[in-house]
Amino acid sequence: MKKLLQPLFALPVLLILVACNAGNGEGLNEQGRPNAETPVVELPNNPSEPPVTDPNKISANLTSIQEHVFTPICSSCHGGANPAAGQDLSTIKNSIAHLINVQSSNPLFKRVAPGLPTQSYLYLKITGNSQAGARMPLGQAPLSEEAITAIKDWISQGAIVPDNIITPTQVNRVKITSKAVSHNNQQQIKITLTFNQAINFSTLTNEQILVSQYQNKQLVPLTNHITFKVINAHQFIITLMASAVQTTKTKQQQFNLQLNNPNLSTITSISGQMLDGNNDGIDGGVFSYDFSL
Amino acid sequence: MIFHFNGKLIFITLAASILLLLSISSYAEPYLAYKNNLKCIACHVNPNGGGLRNDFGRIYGQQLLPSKAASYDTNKLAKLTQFLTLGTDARFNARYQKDNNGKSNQSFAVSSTQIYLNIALPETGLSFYLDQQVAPGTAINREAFIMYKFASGNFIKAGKLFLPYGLRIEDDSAFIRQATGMNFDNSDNGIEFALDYTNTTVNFFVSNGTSQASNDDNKFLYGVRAEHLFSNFRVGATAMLNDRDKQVQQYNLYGGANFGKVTLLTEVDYLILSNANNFDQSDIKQFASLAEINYQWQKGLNLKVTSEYFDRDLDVSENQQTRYSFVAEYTPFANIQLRLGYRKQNDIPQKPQQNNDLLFVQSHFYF
Repeated sequence: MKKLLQPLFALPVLLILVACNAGNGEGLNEQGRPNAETPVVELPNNPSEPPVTDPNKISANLTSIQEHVFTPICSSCHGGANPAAGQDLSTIKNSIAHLINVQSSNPLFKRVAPGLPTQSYLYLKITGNSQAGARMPLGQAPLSEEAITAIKDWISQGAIVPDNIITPTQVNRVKITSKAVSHNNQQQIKITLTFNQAINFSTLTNEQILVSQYQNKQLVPLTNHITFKVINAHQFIITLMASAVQTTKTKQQQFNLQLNNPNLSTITSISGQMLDGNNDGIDGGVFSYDFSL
Repeated sequence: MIFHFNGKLIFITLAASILLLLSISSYAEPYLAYKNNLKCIACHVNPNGGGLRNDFGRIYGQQLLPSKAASYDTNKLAKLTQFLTLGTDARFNARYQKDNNGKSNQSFAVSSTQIYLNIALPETGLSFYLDQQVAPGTAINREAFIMYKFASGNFIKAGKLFLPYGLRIEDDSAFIRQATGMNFDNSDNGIEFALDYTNTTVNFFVSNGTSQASNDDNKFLYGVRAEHLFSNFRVGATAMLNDRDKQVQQYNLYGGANFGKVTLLTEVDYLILSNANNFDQSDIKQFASLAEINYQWQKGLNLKVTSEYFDRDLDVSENQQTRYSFVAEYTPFANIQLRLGYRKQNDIPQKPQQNNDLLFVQSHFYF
C-alpha cells in the first residue's frame, strides 16, 4: 500500500512543476483586474491633487502612488488574506487607514507623519534607512527614484487624501512656532493646521478657535488678537499674542487649542463632510491639541 | 612589491571574508525534516520548526549537514547553562535582478539576523522563547511566547508567535507564504495548543488575526493544522478562518516524500477572501501552490528545483503568476551554508516589474 502511495504522491508534485504558465494578461488592466472593473476617471481632475499630466508617470499624490506603487508592488504582501504587519495597501482607502498617522512597529515613528518624510517609517523603509530594518519592497529591486520622490513629496505636502475618497476629514498635522515680541513682554504664536482633505473655510470662524493657557492647572482662554489666515485648501494659520511674563527658565508654558466645538458650528470639507475632530472615525467631535512653548 | 602583494592579499582575504558573510535570506529547510522523516521538533526548540536549534539540531548542523564535519561542539557556545540557550541565523545578500522594463538592480545587503533565546525552567515543562531580529536596522520582535509542555508531549503556547500553517519555508516571497500571509514577516498574538502523538501532530490556534498589530475588533483568527508521518512520506492539512469584517478562509494540503537522494515537497493553498472585490464586493478565491524537488548530490551539496504558481482570482482568466527557481546549496563545513540560485518570475505583461530574473549568491551563518 505504501509503495503504491509514494508514486501517487510524486505524480502531483511533478505535474505542478511543469504544468503551469503565467497568464497572458488578455482583457486585464495594469492591476491584473478585468478591464470592466477599471474605474472611470472623471474630468476635471480632483481639486485636491495636482493635475495628472502623464498617466504613466508617478505624481506626488495618493491616487497616482496607489496606482503605480502600492497596488502593483506593495500589496502582494501588504494585502490579500493576511497583510504583512497588519498593513493593507491594496486599495486607496486601506492605504489611508493603515498609513497616515498610524503607529509603526518602531515606536519612534508613524508610518506616515504628514509633512515629515524623514520621520515617516514608510519613507525610511523604501529608502533602506537603517532605522527601519529591511528595505522594501522585500526581496525585490528597490523602488525607482521617481516613485521614491513622489512618495516623499506626497508626505511633505501633508499626505493629502483625494476628496473623492470617503474617509473622515481630519487634522493631519499641527505645527507650532513662536517668537518673542520684545517691546511689551509678549510672544507671537503661530499654529499651522493641515487637513487631510480640502476644507470649506467659509465654515471656519474666529469663534471656532479657542486657545487657552494652563495656569495653576486651570485652562484660561486667551482672547487677545487671535486671527487666522487660509494658506491653501488644506492649511490655515492661527496667529495670536500671549504674554511671555509667565515664562521661567525652568518651566514651559502649556497651551491648549480647540476647534470644531459642535455647540458653535462645525468645520466641513468642500464636499460637506464634518471635521472628525476627535479622530474617532465618526464625523464631528472637538479637536483638542495640547502644546507647550 | 612585498608590500603590494600583502596589500592585495589582505584585500582578497577581506573580500573573501565579506563574500562569505554575504548572502540572501537562506531559507528554512523543511526538506531536511522530510528527508530524514523527522518532526520539526527533532531539530528545533520550537515544535513547529524554524529558529533556535536544540542539541540534536546543532549536532546535525555540525556533523551531518556539512561536507566536512566539525571537530568542535557548538553546544558549548549555545548552551550558556543547562537551562539557557542561545542561537542565531545571520543571512546576507549578493543579488542581481533584471525586470521586463530592462531595469536592473544589483546589491549587497544584510537580509536578516536573528538572535534566539530559550529559557527552560527545570522540571516544570515551562519555557520562555524569544526570537528577535537584530539586523538590519532596529530590533524587531518576531516571536516571544511562553510554552508549557505536558508530560505526554502535548504543549500550549501563548504570546507572539508564528502560526502553524503548512510548510515552514522561510522564503517569505514564495507564493504559498506571500498570498497566505503566513510567513516569517508576519507573526501574531495568540494561543496555540498542540496534541502530539508519535507520528501525528494536531495544532489548534486562536490569534488576533491582525498580524503584528493589536486587535482592531472583537473578532479572532481560528485555525487547526494536522500532520501525520508515514514511513518515508507525510501529509498535512490546515484550515483557518480570520473572522474579521471581511472574512478570510484559508485551506491547504501539504506533504513530502523521500526516495533515497531525492526529496519532494509540495503544498497547495485555497483562499476565500469575502467581499474583497472592490468593484462589486464579491468574494475573491485564490489558489497558490509550490512543488520542490531536492537532490542530494553528495554530502553537503544539495540541488533544488522549485516551481510555484499563484492564481490571484480564480474567477478571472489569464491573471496567473509563476516562479521557477534553481538553487545549489553547499555547506562546506559546519555553521555556514552558501547558496547560488537563479529565479525566474513571470506575471502578466501589464506588470513588467513582476516579470524578472534574479541571480543570487547567499550565505547563511547559523548555530
